[in-house]
Amino acid sequence: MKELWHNITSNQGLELAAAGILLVFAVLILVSLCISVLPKLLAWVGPMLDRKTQEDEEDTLDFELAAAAAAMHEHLNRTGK
Amino acid sequence: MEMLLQFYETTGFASMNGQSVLMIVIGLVFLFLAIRMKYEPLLLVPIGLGMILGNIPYPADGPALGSDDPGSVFHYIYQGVKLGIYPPLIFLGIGAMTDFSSMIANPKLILLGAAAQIGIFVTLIGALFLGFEVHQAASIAIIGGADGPTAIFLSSMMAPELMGPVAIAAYSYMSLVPIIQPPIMKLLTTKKERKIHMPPSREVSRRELIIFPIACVLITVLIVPATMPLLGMLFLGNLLKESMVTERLANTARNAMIDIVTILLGFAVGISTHGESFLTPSSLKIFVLGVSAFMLATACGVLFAKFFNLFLKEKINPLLGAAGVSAVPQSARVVQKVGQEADPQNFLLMHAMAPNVAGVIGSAIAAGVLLAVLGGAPVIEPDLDPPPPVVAEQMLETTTAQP
Repeated sequence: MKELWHNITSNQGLELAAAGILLVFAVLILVSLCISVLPKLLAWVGPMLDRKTQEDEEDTLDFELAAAAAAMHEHLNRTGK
Repeated sequence: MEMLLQFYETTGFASMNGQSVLMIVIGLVFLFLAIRMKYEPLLLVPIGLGMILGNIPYPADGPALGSDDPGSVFHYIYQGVKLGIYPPLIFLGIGAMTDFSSMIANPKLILLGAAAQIGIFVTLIGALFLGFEVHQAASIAIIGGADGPTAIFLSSMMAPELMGPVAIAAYSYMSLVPIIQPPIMKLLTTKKERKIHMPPSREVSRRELIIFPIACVLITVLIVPATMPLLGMLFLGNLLKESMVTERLANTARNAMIDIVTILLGFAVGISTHGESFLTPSSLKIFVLGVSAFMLATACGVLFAKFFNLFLKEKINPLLGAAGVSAVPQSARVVQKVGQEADPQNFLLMHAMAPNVAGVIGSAIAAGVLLAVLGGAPVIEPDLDPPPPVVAEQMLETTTAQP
């Protein structure tokens, strides 16, 4: 019994277990905190990103319209209609 | 006649012994459990057949056949386990199929995933108490994480000699979650507690789903770099899924790729499990410690949820703590089932997925912490030796014979 207990203490088993539990909790608490602040962060940054995306979409829309018009124009030219 | 006798000497029957027979029987039992009882069939079928093939005796002076023989195809398949390649690839697939939205919607439930990992570290002390060396004890303790790839990854790094029994214990107990967990959950909770309803989760935006894997990989890997192979791949898979711009890659990762790697992983574990290392008293101890680890993890999760309730205005159902054992999604299903036994109108499945997926992250962090603290990761050079002369000659003949 004493020898078996010695195997735990000589390998610093208790310290290892305590440190392990502490680290797993610490990392997951950090992850949890990070997720908790994420919606607030996005509420602040979100509108800026949205504005940017909307502008991009508008640009894309103009570009797509121009491309479609060009294609139509060429089609009409080719068919003569 | 002499030629027939000579041929007989090359057959498996000539050098068959009791150990080989017993291992083949164990392989057949795994196949029966997988096919007839449907216990983790995706893993136990390749492990079972691998175990049968890995224990069929063959002449030592013949062609290279076994996982230990350089030149054999099984040797190269086994390198994926030995070098720790397959488990991260499985994590990539898991990431591509996991929906973290329930966890993001209710971040406090992540702590239940952490609490269930206490079982790992208590089992570590138990394994040391039973006389195992500290690296072996760590490999055994990780069974409590209820995560097969993590258990295989850690044992391949720390105690390769125990990988067979550790992997088999981990996957067997994962399939036994519906039997192991409910009695502990009922013992540690009152019917009133089991009836607690959880409020509906909030909707999670696409942006949150995209930012989560990036933020989470930064936090976890910066603190415990040893988790990089597992968590790096898990969050890469999740980012492929959530970014919506790599749907093809995510689809491959969660379907074809994970299936291919699962076949190779299971088969490699089976074929490398030999009688001399498996049929020992240590294996029996590992199975006992493994089931204790599962039970402890379940109990720690449930008890922590009850402790957590002391500080919460809106109480959580303590059954959710049992889902911190990261057997996804079995333990979440068990929570749903036990909850509905107490109140048929109680729907806990989606809430249980939060500690369940947090448990996957938690067990990978626990494995990383053990690797970092014990420093047990030996530098393994790729064992891609040239084939022995006999095989080389055969290959040469085959090549030259072709037009």
